[in-house]
Amino acid sequence: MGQFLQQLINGIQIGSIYALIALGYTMVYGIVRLINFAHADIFMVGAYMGFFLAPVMARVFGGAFIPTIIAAMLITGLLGFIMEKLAYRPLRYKSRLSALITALGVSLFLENFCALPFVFTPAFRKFPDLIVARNIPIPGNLGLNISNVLLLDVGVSVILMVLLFWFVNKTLIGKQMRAVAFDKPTASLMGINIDVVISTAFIVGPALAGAGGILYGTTYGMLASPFLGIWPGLKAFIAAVLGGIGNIPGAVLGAYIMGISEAFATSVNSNLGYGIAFAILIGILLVRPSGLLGKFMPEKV
Amino acid sequence: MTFFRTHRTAVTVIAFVLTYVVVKLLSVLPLVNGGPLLNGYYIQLIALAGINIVMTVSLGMVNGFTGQFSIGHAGFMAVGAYTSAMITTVWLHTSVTNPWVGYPVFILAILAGGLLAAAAGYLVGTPSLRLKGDYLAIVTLSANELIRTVIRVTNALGGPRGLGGIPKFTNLEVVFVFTIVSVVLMRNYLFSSHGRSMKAVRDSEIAAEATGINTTKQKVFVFVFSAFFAGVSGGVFAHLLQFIHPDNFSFVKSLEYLIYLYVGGSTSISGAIVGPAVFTVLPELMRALQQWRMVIYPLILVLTMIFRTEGIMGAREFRFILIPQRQRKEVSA
Amino acid sequence: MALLDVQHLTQFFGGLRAVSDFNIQLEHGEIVGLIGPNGAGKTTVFNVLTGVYTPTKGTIVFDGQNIVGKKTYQITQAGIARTFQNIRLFSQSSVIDNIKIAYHFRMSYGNTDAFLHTRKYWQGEQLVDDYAIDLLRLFHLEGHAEDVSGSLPYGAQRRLEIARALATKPRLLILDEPAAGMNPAEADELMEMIHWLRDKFDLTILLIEHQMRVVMGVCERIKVMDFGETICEGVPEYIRNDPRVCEAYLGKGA
Repeated sequence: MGQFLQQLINGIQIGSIYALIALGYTMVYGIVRLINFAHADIFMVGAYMGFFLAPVMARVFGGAFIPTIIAAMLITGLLGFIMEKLAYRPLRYKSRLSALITALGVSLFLENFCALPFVFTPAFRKFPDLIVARNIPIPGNLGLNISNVLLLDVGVSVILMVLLFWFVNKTLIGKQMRAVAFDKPTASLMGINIDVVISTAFIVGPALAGAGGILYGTTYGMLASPFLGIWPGLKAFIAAVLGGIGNIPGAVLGAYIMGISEAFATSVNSNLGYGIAFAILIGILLVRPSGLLGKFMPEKV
Repeated sequence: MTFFRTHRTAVTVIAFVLTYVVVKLLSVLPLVNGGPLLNGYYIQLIALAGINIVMTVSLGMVNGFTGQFSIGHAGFMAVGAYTSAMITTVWLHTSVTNPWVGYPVFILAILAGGLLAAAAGYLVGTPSLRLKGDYLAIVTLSANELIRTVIRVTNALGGPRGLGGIPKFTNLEVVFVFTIVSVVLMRNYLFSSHGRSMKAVRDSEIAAEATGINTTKQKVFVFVFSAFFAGVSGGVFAHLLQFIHPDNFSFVKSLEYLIYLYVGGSTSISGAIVGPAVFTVLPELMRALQQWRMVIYPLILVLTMIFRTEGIMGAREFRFILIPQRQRKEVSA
Repeated sequence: MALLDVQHLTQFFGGLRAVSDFNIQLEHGEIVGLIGPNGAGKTTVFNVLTGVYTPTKGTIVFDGQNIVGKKTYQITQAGIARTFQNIRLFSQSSVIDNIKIAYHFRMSYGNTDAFLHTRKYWQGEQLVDDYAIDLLRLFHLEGHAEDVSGSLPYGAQRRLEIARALATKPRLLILDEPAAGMNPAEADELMEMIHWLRDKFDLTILLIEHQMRVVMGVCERIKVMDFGETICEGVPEYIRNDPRVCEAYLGKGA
């Protein structure tokens, strides 16, 4: 029982980080129908921002966590905005595949650029302690191991997700985003400025990924190399698809399913933990071809 | 000059043979400081280019000509690589020192690898080709990673340590024959009634069904033979590098082939040849740039996509790829 | 026996009844029109006939063979060919390849011949090339044979789509709004062509059309649908004077 609960809790922790990344994939996909492969690398940049900014923030503000995460979100948001302007906008009305290949190119560029010796270097980095890790005693003797980092991960993710839901459902620009995701031509006929909406998606999504990067660094305590985004990014992307890509609650649901199943599978075998995501995804897509919460729209004849 | 027009096949064959002879001579004759101009490293690079060409052309069959979107091609390559390496290395202990036994076993082994990859292709393709666009992409990507996971957890295949000691059966000759035969077979298929049906599926699946084409069967068949060629490529690859690791075949590798394809031009075989040829050699030519190399390479990629969206070749084909046009009778009653 | 016999055809989409109790019998050589306002269920009937949807209820017998539940390509192979409301050519393929594709299921060579370009392949290719160019000539498209079909002018694309449907050698041809986007002169030509098609290819033709001039001029029998129901049926003269038809199109009291 204790073991079971422990894996569940670990899964929710990983799932929270995946959810923050997955939201960016799904928002961008919902609006421009692009699998933004570079999103994983924005997550990586977010994590590195934590590494570089935390000491500065600690000196300026006294506390490190909140100023660092906000600064990282601002920087990754800006990076997303620039990326869309420079790389994706010229291709907006061309084939989707060329945009996808461009996304791959941007991803490779970010990884290798950040690996340059005067940027982040390919070296292993110890992530600064943004908060002091402590175990939280749990009453009863289930042997649960819950740290304040875990609570932080879950808490920050939930706060950001609630903010995002509010943003998408209540603000004007959020409503415009949903309209554009639903039907771009009609939305533009209704006077919605598509450029602004797309830019917003490319700011908000990366900002969330940036926050995910900080949580990732805090949780694992290290940054392996500027290529660290690839695998969490892929998992988060799979989560977004699992939930139904383009669907915001779907991405969150997918991320938690992914995180929890991964935690359980990892407790059996670490390689299995890696592979389980894909098995689940294939299984679900074969039963529900557009993901758990996605809507299937057959082509009209 | 009329010879060039009337005997195109012959000219093409002669051109290939000449290319081979030149490369071979450059790799043997002591031209530079008593050594050959093309040392082992360059020969390996040329061999890799050949393998990449077959991988890309076979991927183009699915993505470019049938309009599907597979991004897990390296998974099938892995199946072929491991199958053939297990046969030649672990089960039959062949070696290059005994070529009369070694090569027949090698050839059968890479074909077996191709067949097993085709079977994997059938398993992946049959249920998933009814999915559209990006969802198909994601299933193929997942299948790719799943295959890699299976290899990682299977100790008999070397697991996460990889599989080494594979005899080096792949040489310049093997690569030349393998590349040309594979490309010719796929080109032949493309220029046939079946190839036309592939393009029909791409242009409008609904109209293709309405003209009597079993689109599901056509899509699955293309996917399966594409996986077959990927499997054979994997076999040739394994016997070139002599050591294979699950990480050689991750989705990152699949994405590389995707890049080759779309940069070269996905709707022509020529593009699927030019893309990998250029992008296998280009990073090597940029060696002088050292660490900047991998920064500039993706920039070239992005710029190519922005300014040549259809890829380097677009839909154009080299003359030697095309089937000679037959003269039609002028008037029929 | 009727070439096509549809009985009690009903099609639901979720809770929406798109077609209810639709019946039609087509005799060999007839030209029959299906009309009705937008959303009446005409295209749904076509889609059910060609296997795009499986009907909720009802039977469809074509040439003595029950075709309910058959796939679209099987129905085409059985002898029903169609065109689309919004033209669906293989737009990146050449004009002649569009025709050849429609001949694919009759091709005599298999996958192996395709890979190896055997004698059988060359013979098959020669045969289909002759067949396709002859068909293109009938539709005055032979001059465009090697052009990319998507680049043809609109009228030529319509003709090519019909030619492509004919290349499957159908016995029943279903035309979904063939005169859409045509001016009166082009529509006249089309009417002539429909009669010519029937005689030349020994066809039975079922068509949906909104241009009344075309429907009245070409059809021998007309069926009118509204809200999924058949509201009346008869020769053009009869339909023209039926108040229910007027009502369906213009509303009550018109």
